Amino acid sequence: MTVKDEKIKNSELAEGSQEKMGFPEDEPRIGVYVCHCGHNIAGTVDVAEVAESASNLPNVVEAKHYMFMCSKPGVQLLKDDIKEKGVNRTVVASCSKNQHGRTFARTIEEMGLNKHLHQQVNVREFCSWVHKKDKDKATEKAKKLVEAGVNRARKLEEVETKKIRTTKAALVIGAGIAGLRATYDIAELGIPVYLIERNSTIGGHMTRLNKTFPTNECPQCSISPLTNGVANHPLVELYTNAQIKSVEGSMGNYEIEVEIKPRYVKDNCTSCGECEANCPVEVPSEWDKGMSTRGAIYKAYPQAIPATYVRSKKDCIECNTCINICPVQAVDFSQEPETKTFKVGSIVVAAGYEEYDPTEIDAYHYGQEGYDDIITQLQLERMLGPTSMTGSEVMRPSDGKIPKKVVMIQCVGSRNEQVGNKYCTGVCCKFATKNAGLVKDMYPDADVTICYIDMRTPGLNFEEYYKAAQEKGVRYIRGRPSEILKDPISGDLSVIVEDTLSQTPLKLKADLVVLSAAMVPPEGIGPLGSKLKILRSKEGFFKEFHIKMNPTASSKGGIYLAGTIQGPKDISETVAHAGNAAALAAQPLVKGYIEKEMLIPYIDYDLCMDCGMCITACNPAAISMNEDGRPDVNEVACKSCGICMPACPTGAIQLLNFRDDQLLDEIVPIAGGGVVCNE
Amino acid sequence: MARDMIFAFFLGCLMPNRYPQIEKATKFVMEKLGYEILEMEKAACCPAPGVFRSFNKGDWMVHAARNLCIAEKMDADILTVCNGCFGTLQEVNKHLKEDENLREQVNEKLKLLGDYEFKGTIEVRHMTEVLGWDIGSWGIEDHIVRKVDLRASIHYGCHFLKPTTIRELDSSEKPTIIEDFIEVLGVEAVPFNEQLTCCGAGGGVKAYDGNASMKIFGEKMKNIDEVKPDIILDICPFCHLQFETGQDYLNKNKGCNYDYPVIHIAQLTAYCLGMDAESLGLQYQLMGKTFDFGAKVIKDKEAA
Ligand SMILES: Cc1cc2nc3c(=O)[nH]c(=O)nc-3n(C[C@H](O)[C@H](O)[C@H](O)COP(=O)(O)OP(=O)(O)OC[C@H]3O[C@@H](n4cnc5c(N)ncnc54)[C@H](O)[C@@H]3O)c2cc1C
Ligand code: SF4
Repeated sequence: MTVKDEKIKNSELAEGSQEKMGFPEDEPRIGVYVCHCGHNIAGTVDVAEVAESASNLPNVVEAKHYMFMCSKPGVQLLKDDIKEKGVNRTVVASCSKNQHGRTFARTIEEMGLNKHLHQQVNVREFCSWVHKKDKDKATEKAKKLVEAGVNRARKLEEVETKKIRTTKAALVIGAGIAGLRATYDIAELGIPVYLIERNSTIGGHMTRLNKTFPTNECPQCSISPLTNGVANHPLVELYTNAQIKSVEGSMGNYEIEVEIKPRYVKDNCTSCGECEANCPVEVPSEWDKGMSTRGAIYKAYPQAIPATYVRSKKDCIECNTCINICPVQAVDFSQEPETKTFKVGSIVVAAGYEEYDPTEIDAYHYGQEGYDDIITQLQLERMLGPTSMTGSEVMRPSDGKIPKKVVMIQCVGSRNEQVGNKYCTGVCCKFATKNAGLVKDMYPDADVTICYIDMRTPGLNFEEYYKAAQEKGVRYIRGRPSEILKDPISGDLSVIVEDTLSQTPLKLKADLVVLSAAMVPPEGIGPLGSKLKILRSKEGFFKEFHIKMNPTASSKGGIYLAGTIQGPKDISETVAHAGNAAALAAQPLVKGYIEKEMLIPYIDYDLCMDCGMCITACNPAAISMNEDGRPDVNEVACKSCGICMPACPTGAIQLLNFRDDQLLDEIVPIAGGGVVCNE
Repeated sequence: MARDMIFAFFLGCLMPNRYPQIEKATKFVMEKLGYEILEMEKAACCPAPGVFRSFNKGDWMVHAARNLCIAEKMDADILTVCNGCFGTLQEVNKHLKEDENLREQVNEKLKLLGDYEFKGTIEVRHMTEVLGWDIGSWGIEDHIVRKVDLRASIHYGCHFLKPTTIRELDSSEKPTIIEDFIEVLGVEAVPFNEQLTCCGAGGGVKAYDGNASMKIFGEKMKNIDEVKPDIILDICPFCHLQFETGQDYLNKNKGCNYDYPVIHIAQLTAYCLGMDAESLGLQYQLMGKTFDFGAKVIKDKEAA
């Protein structure tokens, strides 16, 4: 579908609010209100002088100053002047637009004016707070800022708000705990959800853990009501082995193509396991991170949902054993990939994380020949798990012996500028403490040591959890190991570290070394991000809209982030995050529409050369060529960022209320000029 | 880009004064391999990376830059067989190429020393790097006239590979460049404990705190002695000196009885390329004076 089609589709979806657009006919009558903000502004800026000077500007019919403009009496000043003095545009010189711009815009809207006819001037952050030492100059600057605001206000246009109808369905990408939580929460609001998981099974990392901190509960037990709840929910359509192919559309109305790879096993599979038991192929299990093997036809783990077996085409030698042996003839090598298209209003991205692969840290020799006894925490979790090959015992991969000395190393791939990850994963101190304690419980005589840079176990229950591990006898050494050495004669491993608390260099003998590897963005996040057209943080995860106020919105309207795809988290944080993403994603679908201010660019086709620079510049892809080869703006997709304006070589494209002449008028007093653009 | 197959040979201080046999062996090897080796007139101390840089980084750079300028004028890359010289010259060359401000400051000071201006037209190469990568195990085979049968404990030293972000050569934790190269010469590398740690010589330690230096070195020798190699193979005259005088010291003061021949990669390669054993100069060294490579020669096409 082209953006052009979308525009038509979206225009059908959009309902006008009967508001006017453009420049109002009445002569501008501007009211100016300078706020004291207590001493915040008035302590530095002579507010009376600023108001006085504003009263002399053209079109200004009222100019006042008041203690707190955002207070009820402050707001009342605007109302009275609109009613009694015929003020039809307002300028409030106080704090930032983000803070109270909306308060005053709403006020004038209440009084029957278009809310875009309010102009906010920031004389606090931009003036009084930064020029505390020079009151005279601060006052002069405030006067100029106000004059700039008045100039802008004089030319403000009315902008209408449209309602855009939304498609009542959601799509969730990734079926880890975050995706499952979000799916369930959305579906429970009566909204159909398509859940897309690229693995053959759902549950993500949580189902791979042995126990979960801080209660050491069985994660399967905690998650299975949710996995079952989702898999059996009447409003949820689950697709495993599936990946996003393309994403079109904008906030409220997306169209997504999904490719579903074949399992080569039909749904009548009874999960009896005969096929795998007789499969001649044996390869390392990805699910178990190489801590066990699987056949070419397999099920990731016994409780996997869906329970249907799956064939890995790349590992299969096509001996046809499973086809012949299956008692219900479920194996079918002729299955083909399938593509499905879904129309949804919101998208929740819950593609999770991956454990950092420490092979690039040479000094730790992970994955190198002869260093089998260096594993990661996730591998240890798989070894300890109830269905592991070792019968849940800790065993050295090299010789199957139970280790007497276990050394864990923290911050492997986290807080490490050499590998390009500055961030603290924030979860590893907790899971290392968990696993160290569990190993100590199982083998009280074993030496279990954790080498750390800083122990980070904040939050309710976690100091206690850390203490409990110490009481069990887990030894904590503050120091980042410089390397893991292997004795070339005996083959023994030792970890070289300085105990920085006692300033003693140590060489710790280790039968098993466990690396607490970082949580990093999952493989494939790049292509997924470009399909969704959402931004990533410098750490590589998908970037939230606002770290404090909006941690689950992505950079694009209608796409939300759930769980570790936005950054490392533990399960509790993931669940809370996903719940919030679900609520935001559901809002417009429950309401049925989105309100959109039509603050969009207009194209002067006489000036336009059809060069397409605006199309290239537009990040949300809201501009496209129409059938006549001329650029067209999709008013729904447009995010009002204005980036198209500087891209245009002829000035043909102009964003409402940010037109060149409007901005120029605003700049002139600040720059010290006196000419106002009269075009 | 400087001229191909020609090197300006930076001698440094230690090698020409204490181990002229390494200098001789280097020239022998490089010429056998078809390189032209030029003398660097008026070249001075590199200056040593540990000591000089710690005291005055600016002047350290200026003096190194002066040496670099000499090679630039010769339009030849620098060849060194010393980790310290390599550390200084490679690092300063890289910094000055990448940082325009620094280059201006250094050039300003260089004027005081004469007609010098750093332009950034050459590279600084360690012989090990040239042998391991330019020639390579695949390339040396044609030139070998003698193949030995030895077990060697390799000492990489510190400055050849570290800091890795500046050298950008090989892993500093699990390097293989020497191992791969000497295998073709018939040398088996025998790894030993804590192989990649310092020998205790560099960074001014040997001069400033002899006891600490010998403590570090004593550990090193203990680890080497565990695997009983035929020789200790190094790539730096300063490490060479440490292994030579250090063994002697431990024998005289700590009741040890070491006599491991200390061989520089230039000496080993020279021997395999046909240099006569006497010119290797082991008789002038403290350890392994009578060590006979020849006894272990298994392939000799010298006559041919
Ligand atoms: C060793 C270790 C131990 C831990 N122990 C604990 C603990 O004890 N307690 C605790 O609270 N937390 C623990 N954690 C953290 C916990 O694993 C995470 O908080 C949690 O699993 C995150 O869930 P998620 O849904 O965000 O991600 P994931 O579990 O990674 O789920 C993401 C899902 O998305 C799928 N996916 C990825 N990309 C795509 C794509 N492009 N298209 C479709 N699907 C995709 C994946 O296949 C996966 O199923 C531990 C972590 C580690 C590494
Ligand atoms: S495919 Fe057949 S043999 Fe394999 S588990 Fe399913 S029913 Fe059993």
